[in-house]
Amino acid sequence: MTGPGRLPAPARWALACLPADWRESVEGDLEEERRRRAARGRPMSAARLTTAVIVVATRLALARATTTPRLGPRAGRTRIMRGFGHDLRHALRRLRDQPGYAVIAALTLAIGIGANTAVFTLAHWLLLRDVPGIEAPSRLVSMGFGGQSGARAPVSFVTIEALRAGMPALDGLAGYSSFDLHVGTTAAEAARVEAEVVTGNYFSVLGHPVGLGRGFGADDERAGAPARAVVSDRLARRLFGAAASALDRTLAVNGHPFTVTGVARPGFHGASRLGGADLWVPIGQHRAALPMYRGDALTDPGVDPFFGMIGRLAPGASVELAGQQADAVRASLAAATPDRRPADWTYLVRPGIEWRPWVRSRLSDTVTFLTGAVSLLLLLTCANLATLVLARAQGRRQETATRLALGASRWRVARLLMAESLVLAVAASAIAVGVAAVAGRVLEGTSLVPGAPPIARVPVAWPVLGFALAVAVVVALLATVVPALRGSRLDLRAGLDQAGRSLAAGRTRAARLLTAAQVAVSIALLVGAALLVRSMAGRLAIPTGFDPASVLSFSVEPGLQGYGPRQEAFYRDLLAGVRAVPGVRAAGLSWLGLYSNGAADTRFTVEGAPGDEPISAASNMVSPGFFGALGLPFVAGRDFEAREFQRSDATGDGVLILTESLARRAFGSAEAAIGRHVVMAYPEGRVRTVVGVVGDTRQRQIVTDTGEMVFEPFGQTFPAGFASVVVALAAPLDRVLPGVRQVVDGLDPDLPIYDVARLDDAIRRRFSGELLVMRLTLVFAGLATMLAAVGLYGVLARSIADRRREFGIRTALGATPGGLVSLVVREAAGVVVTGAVIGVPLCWMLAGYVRSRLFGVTVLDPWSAAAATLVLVAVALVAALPAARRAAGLDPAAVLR
Amino acid sequence: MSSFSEKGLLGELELLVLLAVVRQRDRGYAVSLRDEIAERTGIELGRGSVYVTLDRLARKGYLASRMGDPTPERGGKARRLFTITPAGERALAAADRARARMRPARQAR
Repeated sequence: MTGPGRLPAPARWALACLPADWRESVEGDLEEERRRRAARGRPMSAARLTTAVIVVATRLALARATTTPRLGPRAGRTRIMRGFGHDLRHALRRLRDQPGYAVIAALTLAIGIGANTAVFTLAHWLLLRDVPGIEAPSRLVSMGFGGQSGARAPVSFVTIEALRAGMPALDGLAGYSSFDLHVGTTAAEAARVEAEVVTGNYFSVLGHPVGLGRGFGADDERAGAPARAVVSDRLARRLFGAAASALDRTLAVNGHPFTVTGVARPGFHGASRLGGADLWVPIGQHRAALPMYRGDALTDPGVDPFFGMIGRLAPGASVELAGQQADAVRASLAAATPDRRPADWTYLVRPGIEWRPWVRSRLSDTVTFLTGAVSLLLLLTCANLATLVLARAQGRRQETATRLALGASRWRVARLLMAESLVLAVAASAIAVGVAAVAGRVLEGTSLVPGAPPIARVPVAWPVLGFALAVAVVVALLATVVPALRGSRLDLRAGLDQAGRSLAAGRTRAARLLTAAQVAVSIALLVGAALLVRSMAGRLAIPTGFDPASVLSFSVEPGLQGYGPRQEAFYRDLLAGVRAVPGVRAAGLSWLGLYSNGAADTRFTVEGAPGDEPISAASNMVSPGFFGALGLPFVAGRDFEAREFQRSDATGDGVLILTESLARRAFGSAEAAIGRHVVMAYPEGRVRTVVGVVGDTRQRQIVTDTGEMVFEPFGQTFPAGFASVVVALAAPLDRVLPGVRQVVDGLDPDLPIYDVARLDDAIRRRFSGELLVMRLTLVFAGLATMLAAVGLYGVLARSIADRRREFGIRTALGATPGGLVSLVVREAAGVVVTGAVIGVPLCWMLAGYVRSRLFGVTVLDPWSAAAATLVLVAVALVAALPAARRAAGLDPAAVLR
Repeated sequence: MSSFSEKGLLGELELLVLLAVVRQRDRGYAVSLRDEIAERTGIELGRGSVYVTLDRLARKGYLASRMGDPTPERGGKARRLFTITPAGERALAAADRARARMRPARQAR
């Protein structure tokens, strides 16, 4: 097989791995051995020969890599510094000799990279990770009914059936929509959970999100099918202790019995990213799940509960083809039953899983902010490391000059510094991953977007490790290459001179400028943080008109349980029961929850002034006792009376209560309003009498509230299917809450209460997005300041080391230690002032971004600028003092010798 | 290991290979040296060990090498022939001395 003089091919290939000086002789040796053995009748197989080559190559490579070239007597002459491996070993030794530099530089890098890694971890978790159970997400398309303007409307089941029939490009099209539904079991307290009402093929279109039991099928799209539900792994554990024990159990969904036939995979919470669904109910059960839709959801095209559609592309089909088919369906539907939608509305087809729109816009805001902030921090890190490397390059002038004099190239010398930075980068990225893990713990449970479910524990994933390392290496190289090359450009004679004094000035100036730039960015960030803190304080200081800390609010939705007319008695019993709970001073009902997302506005004209513009204001329906429970004072007139509670004013004897500023706007004064009639715009033309005026109050969004409100009696315009109870607390919340829960449980064990919070907490929750941005800005500003302090310390320490002779001479000439300290502090102050002069205007330049997040302060707020500068001056002093004390402690005799 | 080697001392394997090179004058190469050691001591060295040891001794400066003429029985490939250097001879002598001094008195020369 192997001809004369030819080793088998694989063995010859393996020869390439041998060191060049061995290649030919090893090949010859093996060939010789092969022939000898063959002659003795014991031929060597091709595999054995190949193995032999590989073994020799590996052993030689290992032996050469693990022995240092200093070993023998001649080694020093033959191998001076060859290869990057040597550079790395050299770097490790140098860093070990100067642990101070190593620690400071590694920590500097770790701060910048850690922050970036933390944000990348979050982004990876939010955007890049696979949603469990969703198969081949690249073949999924999201569909929505809307126009180019971005407006969207829900669709009916009938429409989905038409799309399924008219879109062969899809291998299935599912509809879904999320609602808050009630879940009760005999075992646990009733709860309100986010649920998705879905078509029967929802789970099969997505893949296999149901891990235990089964999902839904075509028969779940029929009326009269057995009532089945799928629960999330999380809900199954909460209700039944374990996922497996949920199967075949009975749940009360909105008070109707359902059998649990499936449990979703852990982590699956709906087809949208950052979804929070815990329960899935098929559309066939719409009577129980969606009592708010009166018609038949399966046959009535006017019932349109589906806000989302998701389809799977058939093999070979493209998104474009699906889009064309969707347009055709739209055209034929519009021709059959014309609607009022604009002509450009159609069924939009987009690749992939969609975010829920409100999540998307706010999330992109937050992610943009975070990315911007950490990028800035990374720049600071680069600048800081560059300063440190510059200082180090300078400290090594003599060594560098020696190397250059002996014939090393500049690149060769720069490589040594870069090797050091690479070693530091690897160490720093390890710390950074730790920082990211800690940051993940800190962010756990916070809601990045108000209204979105809180973030779960974000695991540090493999791509994150790669990211941290990549960033670290890039930063290290960026920060090193310029100073390293600069450091290697030396005047040899001056560099070799022991004192090397003449060189210090130029390079210190570069470092000083870099540090001033860092100070500038820190000040800009500090000013931003100060502005955000002042804005937050301003928002929280807005008068609500009452003391929110003494009021508990919770909500109920009997309408979801199909109470119908029974709910009047329920509300009456609920109020009476809650008022009797020990620790409750007063209680009242409100249709819209305070500081919730609900909002209603009304318009009216003053009777007798028909020509006037209608007056519009925020409105709400409340029960007698509501104002008393809040502690909102009556300026004039009276509260609603018991006979006005839950009474329709269709007969025309409706009443209203206005807030003071609204009464003044409409009637001139609070007193003048009492007894006057207004004509409502909705219900149109209905006349109501003003019976009372209360103090101004902000109880919706706070910041946009004007204090003007119209209150009407609870149930006057329409019977409300949901309500919030406001409770004046005369005892701590945790002593009152169990009693309140007991009252609701006694009335209906399947009816959960939700949005349970003291109103001051509810207000804070409304600002959670702003609070998060404020906290993060504070963190970033703090980190940036730390970086600037480290940079400043480095510059000063280096500058003092370079000016030892100068200080020595000054001391010899009679300078006092105090004088020397002030000299150093003045130098630090110079850097800070330069930074402030750049930094404060820098912040004003970024004003456009900050302005939208401010409240009650302007970007030019002098207090914030002053506070930021003051903080940095203090930090600079702390950074300067150790260096200054060292300068003052120099022994002139030793220095000058 | 480094301080051991820096003193110019030799490992047992190095000693064997170095002595084999001396025996074969300047005609020794990997295969013949391995055979020599096997014949005289009964120690069958691994192929890799021979190359690694030769390589190390060469890099320490104890051995010098040159390429011989290509021969047909080697498929037209040359041998890498080894010779001991003065440093190698000194190392050999130092190893002998060290052994002699470490030996208990009655066996001393």
